[in-house]
Amino acid sequence: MFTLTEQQELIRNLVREFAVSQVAPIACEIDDEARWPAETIKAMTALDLMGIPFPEQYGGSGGDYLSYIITVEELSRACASTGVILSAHISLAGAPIYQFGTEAQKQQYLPDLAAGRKLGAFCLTEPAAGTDAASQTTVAELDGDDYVLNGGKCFITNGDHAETFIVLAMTDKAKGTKGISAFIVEKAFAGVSVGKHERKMGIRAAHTTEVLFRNARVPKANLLGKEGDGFKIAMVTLDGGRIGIAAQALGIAQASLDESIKWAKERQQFGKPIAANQAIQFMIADMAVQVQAARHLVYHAATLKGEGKPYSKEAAMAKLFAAETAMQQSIKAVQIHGGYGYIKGTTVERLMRDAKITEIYEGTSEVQRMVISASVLR
Amino acid sequence: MCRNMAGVWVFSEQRSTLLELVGEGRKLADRLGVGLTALVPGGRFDAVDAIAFGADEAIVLTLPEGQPLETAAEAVARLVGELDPDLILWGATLRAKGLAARVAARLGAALVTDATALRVQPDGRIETDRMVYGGGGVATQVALTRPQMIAVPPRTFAEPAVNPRIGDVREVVVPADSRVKVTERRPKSNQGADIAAAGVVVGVGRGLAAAEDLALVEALAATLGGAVGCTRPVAEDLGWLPEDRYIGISGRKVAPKVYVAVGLSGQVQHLAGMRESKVVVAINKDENAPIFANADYGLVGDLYTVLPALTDELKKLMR
Amino acid sequence: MPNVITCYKWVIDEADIRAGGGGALSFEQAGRKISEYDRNAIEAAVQICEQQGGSVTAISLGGPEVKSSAKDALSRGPERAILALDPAFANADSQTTALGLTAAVKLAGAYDLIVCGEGSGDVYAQQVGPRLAELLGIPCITFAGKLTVTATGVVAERKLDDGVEVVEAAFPVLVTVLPDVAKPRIPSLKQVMGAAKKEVKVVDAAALGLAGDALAARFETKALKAPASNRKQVKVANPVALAEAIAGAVR
Repeated sequence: MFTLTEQQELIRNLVREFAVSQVAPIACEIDDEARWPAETIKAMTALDLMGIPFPEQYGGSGGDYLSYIITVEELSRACASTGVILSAHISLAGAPIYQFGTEAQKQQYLPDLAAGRKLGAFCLTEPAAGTDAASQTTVAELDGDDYVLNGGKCFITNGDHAETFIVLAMTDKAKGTKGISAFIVEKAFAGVSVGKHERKMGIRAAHTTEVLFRNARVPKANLLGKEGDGFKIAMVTLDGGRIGIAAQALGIAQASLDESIKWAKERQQFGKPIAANQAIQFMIADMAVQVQAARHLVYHAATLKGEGKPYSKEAAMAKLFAAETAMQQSIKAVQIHGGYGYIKGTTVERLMRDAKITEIYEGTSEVQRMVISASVLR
Repeated sequence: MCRNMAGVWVFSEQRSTLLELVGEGRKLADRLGVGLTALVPGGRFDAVDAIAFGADEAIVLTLPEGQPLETAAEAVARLVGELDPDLILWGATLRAKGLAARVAARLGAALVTDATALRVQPDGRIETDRMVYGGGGVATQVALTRPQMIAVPPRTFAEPAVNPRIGDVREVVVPADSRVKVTERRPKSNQGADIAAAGVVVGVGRGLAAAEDLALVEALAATLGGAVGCTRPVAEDLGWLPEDRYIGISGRKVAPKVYVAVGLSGQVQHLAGMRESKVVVAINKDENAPIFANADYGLVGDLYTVLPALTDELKKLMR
Repeated sequence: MPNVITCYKWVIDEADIRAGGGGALSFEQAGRKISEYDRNAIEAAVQICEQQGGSVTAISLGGPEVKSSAKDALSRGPERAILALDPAFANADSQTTALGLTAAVKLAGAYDLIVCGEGSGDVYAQQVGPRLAELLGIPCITFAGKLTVTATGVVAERKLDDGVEVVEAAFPVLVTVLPDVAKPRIPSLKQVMGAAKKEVKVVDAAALGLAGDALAARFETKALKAPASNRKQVKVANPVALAEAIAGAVR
């Protein structure tokens, strides 16, 4: 079903070559130190990866959506932290500006994001408003030519390094979700600050922080869409973001399979490689099937989005399946590695920790099931 | 000179390599019932040596000043055309490989580069083995064109004993090529022993954590009276050893009595450079490293604890 | 502003080769790639033209499968490609390759410099460069570790068995390069996409005027196998035992 074009294969090759030579070698180290991979991001900028799916007129690379998804997959196969940094930057910050921004907003903000001069982040979640977005407590009040934002967001991927935020805030509490609006907020605006850094189980090199607004003045011109469009913008953005996270999960699942095959062929027990045991062979066969099935779902959702067709249900299916695949395969990979897989600093141990987040963020697996069931039971 | 005298030719610009080829060429010529001719670039060493070790005649190629060796291609091709030898063995130095390829192009002939084995077939043709796919394969081939041309790495054959005979030495003057000029020659600075000539080689890979730790490897090599070699990354990426020390398909080929592989995994590209060693010893902390399948003796262990103990023990044994 | 030609080979990725029963090599699942040494050559050619102007033409020769190499090669910087494709060129030996490339170079028009890798990653016979130069009747400098292009020619530092030899040659000239000469870049996404818009000329053996003897086999290949290991593979327990084994072998 999915035969990649020659160009898509070449893009996969370039990202893989980069990932193998420059991303994988430091993956364990930056995970251990929770170190932001600044050099990697600089190199990704040079390879035109920071704005893959945006048109060249906005400083993007003019690539197709599936190429972007393959890029996240290949980066995540080497380092899931690096994968999600790119996914959040493109899917959650660049994409809503491209999709919902005015021409002036696109001209002002996309070129810096697409060329990697600035990093983007998406600020929706609050301590008391996760899946339940309508419980937003961050408010935006119009005061002259500015909106004044007050409140705090948490679990923001790229929070400390981003300079361009998409922020969701209540402009009219009485209207519930219809009272939410979206804003383009620069870190440089007075009253915007970065709060606490989270210490996480996995994807530790991708920084997750609070982003705080204290009388932050945002020009009226930075309202994305109309007042009250925020919830819709957030949901559409998350639909797209899910394909990015699905690709991240796919990369983790593929890496789990790669590591398992390598180890099973090398590791000798009772005078033969453990791959000679049927128990291991069957485990690896099942892993290969799961990974391939996930890939088809993910590429299918990406293709639909790339073709401008509806993809909400397919994105949820891809994200749900790929995330659970990543989790299951990484657990099997640790099992195949035995004691070695339980030791800090081995790849599979990191994969298992990184996999877990894919079942949680940008909609938990439970939310994906809600989206899917609502669609199929309609 | 009878027609037969053009039978087997050997060429090398290195004295030791030429004599090795003369030794092997003599055997082949006798077997084929033909003569043996040594082609020798002039001014490097005495062509009479070639005759003293078994050649029937020698042709001295007098090269113009300031010209690379390969300038001789046209003159050699013309000689081959005139005298029609059956077989030419080339010493496979980088220069001679280039010369041989250019001669072969002029003749439209096949050329086997870096043959690791030569076998005479009943029809007098030579079957050759050579490494392909970065050392992952061995191709066995017979050239169908005439003359058969085979380039053999230095030290593939033993240096022969003196086999004095009487033969002619004649000179062929190679005309200059005005388009090319050698402006400088910088001989290799003699940093330690030539690994290709050493009886024992200790080869080190990325298992070594720091350049300073080379001292451990050098101590072992010194105890054995050997030289230190390495894998490509140690020389090219890390720069811990000069590039003429890296052993592999595109680096040096060694065939010592004993090769000690220290902290190297045994990639096919490296194996291709040390496969002809008589005895291979491997030390690696990864029991799954492929080097163990390519070693006679293997010790699974950390080189930082193994090497000092091994060197101490060998000091006692080698006294 | 030099016109530069660079030649590359689309080789089987040796990492994908499997050894089957009896040491036979299986190429079933093997992918293809631009030979590693040729990537250095392409990069060297591209860097020269980035610094001095001029244009780079990439040329390759092989079976029909080589067609898929064009975008890969062009994403690395050359402005156009000429592909000599013919079933008769699959597994072409060094002489057939050089004959085909000679004809393809003539199609490329005026040139000053040809840059080739030191050898191919698969066969590594190290012959095509010098043979091509000889057939074109131009000077050849092999194994250059450094390459400088002047207004009228090149200065190359050859790294040879016995040291460095600095050679000057006038245009047109062919140089084979060592990996040191230029580290290949990973092409960027825009370069990959831009490659699709570049000119690719495809010619077959007949169009190049090659037939008969030029294409005839010059080798009989009797076997192609994985190298056999006939090592003893004795595991020793400690440095003392190892020392004894080594001392025994040295004596």
